[in-house]
Order: sequence, then C-alpha cells, then structure tokens
Amino acid sequence: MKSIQLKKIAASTLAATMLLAAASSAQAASVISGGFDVNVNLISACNVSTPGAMSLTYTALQTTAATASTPFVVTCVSGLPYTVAVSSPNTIDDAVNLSYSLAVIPPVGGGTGTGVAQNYSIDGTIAAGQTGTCTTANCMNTAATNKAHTVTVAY
Amino acid sequence: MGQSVLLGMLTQTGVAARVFALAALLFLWIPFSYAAQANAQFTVDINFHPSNPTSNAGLCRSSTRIGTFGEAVTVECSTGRAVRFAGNTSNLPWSATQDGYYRFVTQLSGAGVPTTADQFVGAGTVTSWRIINLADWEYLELMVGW
Repeated sequence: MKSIQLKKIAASTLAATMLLAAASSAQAASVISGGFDVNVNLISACNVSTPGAMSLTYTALQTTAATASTPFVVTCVSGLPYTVAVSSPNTIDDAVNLSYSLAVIPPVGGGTGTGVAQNYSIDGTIAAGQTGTCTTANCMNTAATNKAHTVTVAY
Repeated sequence: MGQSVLLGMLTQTGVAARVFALAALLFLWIPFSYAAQANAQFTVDINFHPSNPTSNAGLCRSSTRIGTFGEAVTVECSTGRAVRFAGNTSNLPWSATQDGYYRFVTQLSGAGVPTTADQFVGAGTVTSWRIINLADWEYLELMVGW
C-alpha cells in the first residue's frame, strides 16, 4: 500500500515537472517587439576657411592698379541661405598711407549651402597714382594697425 | 502625459507669468537663431616702393613745394625737377607747361612794367625768354622754373 502511494507521488512529480518544462519552452519561443523614433535636431551652421594673407606690391605713382587675390571656402548646411562680407572694404593703410579696396568674389553677396565647400576669393586693389608714405627705399606695412580684416558668413 | 502636465500648470496660479516668460523666450530665441555667424581673419600685406626699384627716376608728388603755387606737381625724387603739373588751379596769370616750367607772358608797352608784377615775385630761375613782336604789340615770354 505504501509502495503504491510512493509511486503515485513520483508520477505526480514527474507530470508537474514536464508541464513546467513545456510551459517554459512555449514562453521562450514568443517575441515581443517595440518601435522607437530617432529624433534628430540639426542645428544649422556654416564654416569659413581662413584666407591666406593678401600680398600687394606697389610702386609710388604707378600708372596701373595693383591687384591681388586670396581664396577661401564656405561650407554650409544644405539649403541654408547665407551672406558673405568682408570688413572695412575701403581702407587707407595707416603705415604706408595707401588706399585699397577689398571685394568678395563672386559678388553675389552670399549663396545657399550645399553641404560641400563653395569657393570664394577676396580681391584687393590699390588704385593707380598714389604717392603713399615711406622714408626708406622700401616699406612694408608690418606696423599697420588696420591691416587685419575679417570675412563674415552670416546665416 | 506632457500635455496633461502642461495643461495642469497652465490652470494653476501664475499662468499669465508663465505664458509671458514663454513668449519672451521665444522672442529671444527666434532672432538669434537666424543671426549666427562664422568668421575668419586675414591680413593685407603691402610691399611699398616709394620709387621705381629698376630706375633712379623715381617720381614724387608735392603741392607745397616752392613754385607749385598750390598745384599738385610731380617731380623727380632725386633731382626735384618738376616733370608734370596736375593743372593750372592757382589762377595765376601764367600757365604750367608739361615739362615742369611756368610760362609767363606780359605785354610790353611804353607805360613800362605793369604795376601788378610785384604780386608774383618769386625766386625762380628764368630758363628762357623771348620777345614776341606782333604788328601792334610786343610781348615778353618768360619760362620760369623753381
């Protein structure tokens, strides 16, 4: 009698174990998924490269204008409108007393960003017929306080 | 949930103040968001020769030099010899010539030297002179340089 009871208990335990295993197996096969958004906040921006120093050579009272050019690039977010300007486009150098003008080329005042670098240049001109100031055979405007200019890209 | 929280906040006291603060933030943010700038600096270097380095005939310009009478005159830097005048702006009774001298003509008559001559006394050099003898008048032409 006691042997029969033990066998019943063993059988019950085995059945319960199998049920649990089956349930666990069924749970492992199910898939739960959920979607999510990727929110991108693109802050519009432009970069402008640093133009190289512009070098102009001029002889007093020369009959033709002296010109020079220095290139730079503007890179803006695609579709972003911007303007390009140079500071003090008409300047009298305070070291050699020569008047010169600066212009952004192309003279469109700006453009629209494309995501890649766009080429520009600054043209400098010293008009003909100027006397200037120099007490030696040759003068550089190294001491000029207004020789630095700024290219500004506004967007 | 965000909307309900915001709605709850708006229904509480101080709604007007919060709305005003939000409007102020928007007002400040909008213009600055479109006023960004990118800058780069460069220099303009000038190599200046006061005279032509390939020649000794450098030119200078002066309007205060003796003999210019306020006119802009171009002279050789080394010798000071006038080579060009910008034009006769001095209203003098003589005219500048392209070689840098003034041409002065006065009428000769039996009345002697004109009384106004002393107004234009100068320490120039008479480089040439001639008498022009016309049918009725005689003129004295002086070429004067300084």
